[in-house]
Amino acid sequence: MKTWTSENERSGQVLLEFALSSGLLLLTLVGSGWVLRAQWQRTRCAVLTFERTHAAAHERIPAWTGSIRFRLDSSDDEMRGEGQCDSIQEKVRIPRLR
Amino acid sequence: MRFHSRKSPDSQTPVNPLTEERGSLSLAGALLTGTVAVLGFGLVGLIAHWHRLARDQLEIDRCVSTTARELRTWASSAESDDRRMKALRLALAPSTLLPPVRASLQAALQAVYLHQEYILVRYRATQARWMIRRGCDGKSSDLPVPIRFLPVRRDPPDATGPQALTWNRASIFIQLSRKSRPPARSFPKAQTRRPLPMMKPPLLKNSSAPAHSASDPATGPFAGKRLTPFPPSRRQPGRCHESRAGQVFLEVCLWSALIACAACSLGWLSAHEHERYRTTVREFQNLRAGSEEGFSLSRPLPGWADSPRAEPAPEH
Repeated sequence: MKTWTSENERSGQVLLEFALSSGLLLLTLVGSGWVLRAQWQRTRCAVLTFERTHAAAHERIPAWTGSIRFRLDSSDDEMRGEGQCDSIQEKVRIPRLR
Repeated sequence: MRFHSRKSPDSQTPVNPLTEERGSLSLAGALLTGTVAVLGFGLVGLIAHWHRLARDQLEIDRCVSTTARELRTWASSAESDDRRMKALRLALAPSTLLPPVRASLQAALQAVYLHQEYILVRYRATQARWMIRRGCDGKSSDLPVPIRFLPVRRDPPDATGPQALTWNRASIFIQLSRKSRPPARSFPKAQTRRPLPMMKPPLLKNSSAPAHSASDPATGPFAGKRLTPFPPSRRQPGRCHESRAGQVFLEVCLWSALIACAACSLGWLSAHEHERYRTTVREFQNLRAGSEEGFSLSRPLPGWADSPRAEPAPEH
C-alpha cells in the first residue's frame, strides 16, 4: 500500500513537471513566432506600400504584388500611398519629380 | 523497490536513463532553436535585401533626377537664348537702322548665338558623361540608355545673322537601369580541424569496491556486483525519478530561455533593419526634378531594376 502511494505521488509530480515544461516551451514558441510574424507583417506592409506607390508615381507595373488594402492619392506634386495590413498602417509619399 | 537502476532485459549491462532523455531533449531543443534562428535570420536577410533594393532605387532615381535637372537647365538656357535671338532679329529687320545701332545689334545677336552654341556643347558634354560614367556612379552594374540630343534644328544664317533654333515636338527620356547581382564571395582557406578527444562514458561507481579503470563488465572489477547510478547514500525510493524530472524541467527552462533570447535578438535586429528601410524610403521625398515638366517612365527591362526616364526637354 505504501509503495502504491509513493508511485502515485511520483507520477503526479512527473506529470506536473511535464505539463509545466510543455506549457513553458509552448509559450516560448508562440511568443517567438509572434515576434517574428509581427516583424514580417510590418516589413511586408512597408515594402508593398512603397513598391505600389513608387510604381504608380512612375507609371509602371509594381515588381511585387500582395494582398494588402491599398489606397492611392495623387496630386500634382506627389503620390501618396497608404497600405493597411491587419493592424499595421504604412504611409509612403513619393514626389512626382516635377 | 528500486527506481534508481534499470537494466536491459537480456543482459546485465546497466542503462543510464538520464543520459538517454537528455540526448533526446537536447536534440529537440536544438532543433527548435535552430528553426527559430533560421526563420529570424531569414527574415533579417530578406529585410536587408529589400533595403538594398530600395537604396539602389533611390540611387538611380537620384541620378536620373540630377541629370534631368542639369539637362533641363541647358535646355531652358538655350530656349531663353532663342527668345533673345528672335527679339534681336526683329530689331534688326527695319532697314532704317543707323549703322552703329545695327552693328551693335548684330554683335549682340552673334554673342547670344555663341552662348547658345556653348550651351548646346555643354548639353552634349552631359550626354557623353552620362554614357562614360554609366549614369552617375560609374558602376558596372548600371545600364544607361543614351540620351537623345535636343529636338532642335537651326537653319543656315541669312543676311541678318544666325537663325534661331527651331524646336520640334519631341520628348527626351533619361533611363538608367541597374541589374541586381549577387555579392561576390570569397572562399577562405579550409581549416584543418583537430578531431575532438573521445569522451569517456561516466564510470558507474561501485558501492563497495574502489574505482578501477577496467571497463569490461564481465571480467572487470565490477563483475557480479550491482551497479547503481548514485552512491548508496542517495539511494532512496523515488529519488531518481524526481531528480530526472527536475532536470528535464530545468533543461526545458534553459532551452526556452535560449529560444526566447534568439527570437528577441532577431526580432530586434529585424526591427532595426526595418527602420533603416523606412529611412531610405523617406529619402525619396527629397527627390526633385526641378522643372515644370513631368517625368515619363516606361516599364523596366526584364531582370533589371526599375528604370525611371526623365523628360528634360520642353515641348514646343
